[in-house]
Amino acid sequence: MMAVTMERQQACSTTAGADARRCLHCGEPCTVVVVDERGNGFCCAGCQGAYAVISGLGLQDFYALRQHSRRWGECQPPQPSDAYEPFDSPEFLGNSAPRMIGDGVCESRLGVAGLHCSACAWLIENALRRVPGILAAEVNLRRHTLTVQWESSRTTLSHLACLLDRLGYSLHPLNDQRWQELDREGRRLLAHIAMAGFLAANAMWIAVALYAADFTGIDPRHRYFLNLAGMALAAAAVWWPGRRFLVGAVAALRTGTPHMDLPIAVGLSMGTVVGGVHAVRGEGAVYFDSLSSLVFLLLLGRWLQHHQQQRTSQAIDLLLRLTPMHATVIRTDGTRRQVLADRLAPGDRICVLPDQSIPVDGRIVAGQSEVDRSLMTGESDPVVVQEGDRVSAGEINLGHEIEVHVEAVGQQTRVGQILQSIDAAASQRAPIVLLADRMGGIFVLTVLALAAATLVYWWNEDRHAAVEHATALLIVACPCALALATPLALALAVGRAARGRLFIRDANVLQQLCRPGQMWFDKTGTLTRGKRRVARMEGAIQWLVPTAALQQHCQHTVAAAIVEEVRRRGWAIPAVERLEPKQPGGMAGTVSGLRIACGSREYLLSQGIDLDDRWQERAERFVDEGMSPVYVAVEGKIELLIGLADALRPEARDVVIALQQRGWQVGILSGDHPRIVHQVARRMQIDPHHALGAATPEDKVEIVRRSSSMHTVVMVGDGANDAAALAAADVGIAVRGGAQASLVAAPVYVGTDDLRSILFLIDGARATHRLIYRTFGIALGYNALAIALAFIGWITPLVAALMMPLSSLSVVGGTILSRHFRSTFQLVQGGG
Amino acid sequence: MSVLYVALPIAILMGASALAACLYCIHHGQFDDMDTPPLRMLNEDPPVRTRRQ
Repeated sequence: MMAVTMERQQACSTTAGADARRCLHCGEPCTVVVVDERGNGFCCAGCQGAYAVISGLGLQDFYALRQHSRRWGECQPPQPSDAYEPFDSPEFLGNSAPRMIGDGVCESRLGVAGLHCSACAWLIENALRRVPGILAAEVNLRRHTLTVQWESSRTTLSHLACLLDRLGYSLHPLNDQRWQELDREGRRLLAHIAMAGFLAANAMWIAVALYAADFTGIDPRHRYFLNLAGMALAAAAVWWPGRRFLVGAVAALRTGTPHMDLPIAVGLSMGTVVGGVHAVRGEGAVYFDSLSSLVFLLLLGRWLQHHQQQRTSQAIDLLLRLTPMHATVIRTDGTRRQVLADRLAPGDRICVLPDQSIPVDGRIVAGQSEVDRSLMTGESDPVVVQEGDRVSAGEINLGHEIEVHVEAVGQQTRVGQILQSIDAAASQRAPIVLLADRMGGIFVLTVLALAAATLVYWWNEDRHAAVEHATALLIVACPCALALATPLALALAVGRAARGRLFIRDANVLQQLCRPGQMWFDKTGTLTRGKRRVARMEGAIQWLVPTAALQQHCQHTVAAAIVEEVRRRGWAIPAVERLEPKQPGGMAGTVSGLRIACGSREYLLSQGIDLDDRWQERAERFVDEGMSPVYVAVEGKIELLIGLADALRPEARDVVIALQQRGWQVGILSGDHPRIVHQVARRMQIDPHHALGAATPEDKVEIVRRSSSMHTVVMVGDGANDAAALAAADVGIAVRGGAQASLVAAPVYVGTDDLRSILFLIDGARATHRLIYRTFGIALGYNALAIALAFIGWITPLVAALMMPLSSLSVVGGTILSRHFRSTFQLVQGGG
Repeated sequence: MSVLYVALPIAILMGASALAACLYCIHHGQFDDMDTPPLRMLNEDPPVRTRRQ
């Protein structure tokens, strides 16, 4: 409340006059650079434009509605208006291509980037409704999508995209067939729950009437009618929403793997048949209330698990936002056009701008640049490429614009082939037998054997009672609590993990992680940060500042690391007085009247600067420790040595040691140079035999597959070069900041940028496993008691009706109150 | 008590019509997005402005 009030005051105060310290639109503290004619201050032209559009539409209420709970987006300059022209071509839109839904009316669903809270949805919907020609606009905050209907004669999608861009939201085509599939399954489950709930509730009323009748007496004809009606409802519940258990049981029988659906189906169908016969004949027990509530509760458990898993997988999809890749084609007449990358064909000529990733395999025909190949090789240094060099899909262009002659597209590219091998790897994996199913299998056999024993035992005494007691046993022993407990425990685990930004797409991995096995880590970007930093300096540190001044004029990663180090220390960077022409290996110039030269050993030697032994020795020590040295010379004399390294994550060592303490065998699997890999392994206390360098993506799959024959294999990685290995491993864990390909392949996604989440995952998996065992114990105890009572023939319908919900309640309560997956990170301190 | 033979089926049929309505809503996607509608409702009215002191 406090925050909201302050927010409003702030919004009003900024409307009233210029606030020198906060941008009127984005609310970020800033030194005002743009002031409009009414004296309002903004941090950039983009914010000013957005404010002008919003106030022009009369939607200033937006500023009062929104909350500054988090950073209000990145300030980005608006794109030129022709940048959205592709939005008018169905080729560009792919799955989001507009559909004609009426006379000249089109509908389309697009992804929106930049949504923060409900105020954004409000702004977009209201802004679009004021555009002539737009009939309806609806934002879905969970999916981050916009569904819009417009008259094609009066407005265009590009106009709409352009307007939203000026407001600070960008539109993009969707690529979401998987969601539709999940949606359909969710709807089907929900519909079944609604039906089962309806039938169970009505059956319950009838049952209450009959139980009351036991005490007050009832006309036998009425009892007969009520029994029939209740039985009809129960039969409907079993046949309609309960059919998924029957189908599952048939599948279990066909594949010869008994699982939970089997005892459920046996109990349900036995109860229905015997109950139906009893109801028609008007004698014996009729279990209709137990049957219908059983179906309802079981479906509820399934739905909980489905819902939770869907939520996480959506969270991952939102983080990844699998947008279709686009490419700029250069036509023979020299014009450029944006098309979907999979529409390209070998022989085309495309242009790749700086910071874009290359969509195809091909050869450079014009331009010179540096590319980041870490996606495929894991190597952290950028590679210089020029005309005639080959580039492959997934590499990122870091330098200048290049033109590429297309040689292979889509699945023919190297990345495409790796992605194909992911599918192959996933299909070759042995199916996991779930704990619940394994126990369920034993359970089925035991219950069936006991039911048969009951039948045989009573048969000679009284055939009628024999059938009745056997049926009572089957119904009472129906593992409702068991079938409810496992999905519930898994759903809770997945939900709680997601709150710690640990997204588990497939809850089955929790079971595999509960026992130690082999864990492979990728190096670049997983154990390390994947970005070079200043790791150590020797000499006079004050010379870092003029060095950074020089390096500001250079695009290399070395330069970026040095500049960032100076910024981190909060030092001001002076201007360069004179910059000498750039040469390979280093650069020189005059700063504050002194000539500074910095670069590699070869560069300094070429500048005629003397390197004495003392510096050379230090530099060699740097190399031994896995750093690349950069020399800084002032007025021809070496003053400073900077060691650059792809720094290890600070928590990496503790995590590795904690994993080893828990019995995991930890190894490194990297595409980087073996010497660097060994050096990292030594610092992590990893056995050098398990530190493998220079591994291609194909090698990684092979190694993972070979080690998975013995025990659970976990692969932790981030790049596309890990993607196939992530899929081949029993459990693939993708870490943040990685390539989309690897994240799609992995069932677990760590969104925290902190390796300790892996420990959290493993401890949580163990706790979940223990919890499932415990609830199994409780439920089995109940069932054993019930079976014993049924065996001696003491179970009346009333006792059965009481015992069933009681056992479910105790199991559900025990699961919800348990603390599994709650204690985030506290275990790390104990382990490290 | 023989009214039971008429009342029970009628009651169940009435309930079933509500169930049919619920199924219609589920199949037309009204339960797909449970996040946006409750928030949208809060933003329908123009916000109350507090006066600056």
